[in-house]
Amino acid sequence: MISAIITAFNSEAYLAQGIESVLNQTLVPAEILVADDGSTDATAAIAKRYGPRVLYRWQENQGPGGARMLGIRETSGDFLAFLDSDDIWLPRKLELQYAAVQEEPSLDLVFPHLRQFLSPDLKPEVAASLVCDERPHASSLISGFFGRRSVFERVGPLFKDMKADFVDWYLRAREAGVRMKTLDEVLVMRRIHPGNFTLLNKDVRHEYLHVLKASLDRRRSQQGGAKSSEKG
Amino acid sequence: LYIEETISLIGDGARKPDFHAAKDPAMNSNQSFECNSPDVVFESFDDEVVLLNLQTGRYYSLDPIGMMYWEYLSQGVPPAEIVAHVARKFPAHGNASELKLDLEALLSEFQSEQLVRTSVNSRSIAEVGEPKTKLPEKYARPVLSKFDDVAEMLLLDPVHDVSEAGWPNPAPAEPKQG
Repeated sequence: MISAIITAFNSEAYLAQGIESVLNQTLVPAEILVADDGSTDATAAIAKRYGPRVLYRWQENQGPGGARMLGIRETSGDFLAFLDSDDIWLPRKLELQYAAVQEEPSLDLVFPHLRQFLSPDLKPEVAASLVCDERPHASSLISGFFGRRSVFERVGPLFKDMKADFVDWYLRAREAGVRMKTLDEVLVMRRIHPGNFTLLNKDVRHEYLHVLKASLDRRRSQQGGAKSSEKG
Repeated sequence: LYIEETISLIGDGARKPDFHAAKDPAMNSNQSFECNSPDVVFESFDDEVVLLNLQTGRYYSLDPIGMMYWEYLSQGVPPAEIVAHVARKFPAHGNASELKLDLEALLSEFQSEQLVRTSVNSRSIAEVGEPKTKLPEKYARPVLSKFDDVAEMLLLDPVHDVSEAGWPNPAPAEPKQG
């Protein structure tokens, strides 16, 4: 059973497109949940428009990792797929990812390729200031995530109150030896708009450096541990 | 300089430095450098400096000796002055020409990885002060470790697509005709 978790924060402009891209999957997930990270706009009203097909949960703002954890707690599928509410899944996303784990049951995570697009609602002067690389990219971003729920037991949670939550989790997943595969197909469209310019924020850059430092320290202590156990 | 590429998957970009060749015949040891910001961000920790190149998604670690060189170099201290200073700091090492080679190799890596650029703002050791790093008692060759295991993810951050001024500064308006 697949649970789709859409994380949203003041997403009234884009949420409906995100939800519809989940409803339009050739393999419709058994459960669709909008995890609202403390929105104060019409996000709730838009999510509730879809009736019982789309579950809705709200919590005080805890950052994207906190919202994803809310989604994990409030769903029950043994496979989880995340979507940031401003991005869009292409129709065969879940079908192909699910087929990949059926074919290779040892896989824990399956990512697709993605393509980026300039959000069509941008003011021309804003759009002109952005260059959108439209080539397909291998995507280990959250909107491409499809994986087993059990992987969170091995890797641990996504942490709240940080912007680099998924980079941090992804590094921990690699350290834990989680088995990943990237499909060749483009299955996610990533919306480019000013809100996702995270690395321009000094605090976020600082956070990335700390996340990388923590990973380096863990890897060294793993290696150190392995060496000392060899000696012993 | 010892280059480690453990855990990383650097492919076509991998360059094994040739420690003995002259790195850049034009390199002037009185030239000053600075961090190639905003493309490169870094943070000094107690035991290493972690650098991230947002244009390539690669990140790097420098051990304490490497960090000392980075701190001096990225603040504009010319290589010649750094070498003289390090030689005084580690008198037991006693081989300034080896220090010079270490710094040249490191600088060459910094340049090929686009972590530094030349600068006209020359500063002296006295101006920049002591490095924040805790130095070992004995000098050892600096170690630069490179990683690209999250490059795919970091490269997708659209910061790369913005002009240097970047969001939220809009692109300059087209000059009005007529």
